[in-house]
Amino acid sequence: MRALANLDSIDAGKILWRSETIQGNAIPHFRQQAIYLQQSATLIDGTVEENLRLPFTFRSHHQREYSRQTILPLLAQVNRTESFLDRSSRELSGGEAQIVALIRAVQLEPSLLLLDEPTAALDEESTLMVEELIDRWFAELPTKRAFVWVSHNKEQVASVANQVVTMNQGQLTGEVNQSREQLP
Amino acid sequence: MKYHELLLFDVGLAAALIVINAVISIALGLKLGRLLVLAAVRTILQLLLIGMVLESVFSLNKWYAVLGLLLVMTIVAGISAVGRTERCYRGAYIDSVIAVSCSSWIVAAYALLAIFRDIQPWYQPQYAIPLTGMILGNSLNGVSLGMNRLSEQLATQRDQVEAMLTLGATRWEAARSSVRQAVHTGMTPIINSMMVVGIVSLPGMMTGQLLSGVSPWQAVRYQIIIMFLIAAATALGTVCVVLLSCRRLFNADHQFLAALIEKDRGRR
Repeated sequence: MRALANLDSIDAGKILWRSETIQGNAIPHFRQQAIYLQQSATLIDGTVEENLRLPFTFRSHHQREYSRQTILPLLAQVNRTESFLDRSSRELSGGEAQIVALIRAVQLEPSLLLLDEPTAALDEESTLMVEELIDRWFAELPTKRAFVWVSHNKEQVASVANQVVTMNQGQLTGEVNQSREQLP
Repeated sequence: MKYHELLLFDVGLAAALIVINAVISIALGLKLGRLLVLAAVRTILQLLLIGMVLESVFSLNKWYAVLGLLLVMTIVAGISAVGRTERCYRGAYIDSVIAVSCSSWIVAAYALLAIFRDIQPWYQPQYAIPLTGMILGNSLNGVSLGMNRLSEQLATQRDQVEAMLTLGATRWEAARSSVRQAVHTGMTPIINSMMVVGIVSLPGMMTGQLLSGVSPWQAVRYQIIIMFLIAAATALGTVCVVLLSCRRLFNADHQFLAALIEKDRGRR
């Protein structure tokens, strides 16, 4: 998963993005479209809003601007009001931090999300919210967006995936195609 | 300008003071006897040895002898800067030697060619060696502090650094706050000593000049010059080593190579 996000080098083989290999200074631009979400969210010190503003301080996002208007509907979806933006990132629960990290990613409208067990450490309620946020992001442009979701939870796999690849100790042990029960 | 010539007998009188340390060690059962003897012998031998080297370089008075000695001093300084760090990484020695030599030689050249421009020839050992020596010693300090802090910072903040990378930051953007802190740490000691110089203690060089009969006014001027020289060299050396370290700890594909950082080497 880290290799897909180009955080680690691969030992063998090739990773193609839109039929091209990505290297050098193209990588920050690639990572802006294919965002990897760490299993436990890492936020910077400061408020929730400062965390959401963080990506826009990078050169690869220079042409865009942070907008509260984009954020508010996303917050509403997870039952949070505007005041949530002023909370300090240190006070957040693990679930809330993961939600902030996810909103930080989806506000950038990536084409691909790389989700490394994003709900493994979360309670039921937060898990549902995370699933819903991802669902909503995907449903906006289902033909242009995709995600890779690593999970140990079979029920979750059944409800979110339309293509399942099983991996056992580093080996692919089977590929099962299944149609998603309810495409939104 | 006169100073009192010392006889070997005088040195012997001073060396006899080691008895005080010995008595204390025996009286309190510190078992420092062997160490004390070793320390005393090393003090005498090392200084006599460097005295011999300096004596021959001074009497030779050739540019290649001076530069040769300075080169050896530079490499030793670069290596010992890494020796002082608690965390470092593969390739640290090369980076450290480059940083120490660039910073010190640039500043030393400015000192010898601009500030001491009237001295002929420019490599006159009396000026070139002590000036460069002091510059090296301080640059070394900044380099080792900066390198240590950067490795420490990046190793402990790995998740933060990678979180920024995943959001499209370049390697320099992801390392920015660590770089800032490392340079800050490297430059703090020299700023602190500029704050208190002359108040808390008289600097070594100035004391030496007073002993050799230089007027206090001149000694103070020398000291002021030295303070600015070492401040500049420290800043240059710290920035240089931090940037070189960054280049090594991140590859061209904007990946953070955390595995390169060696953890918790014991202090030597």
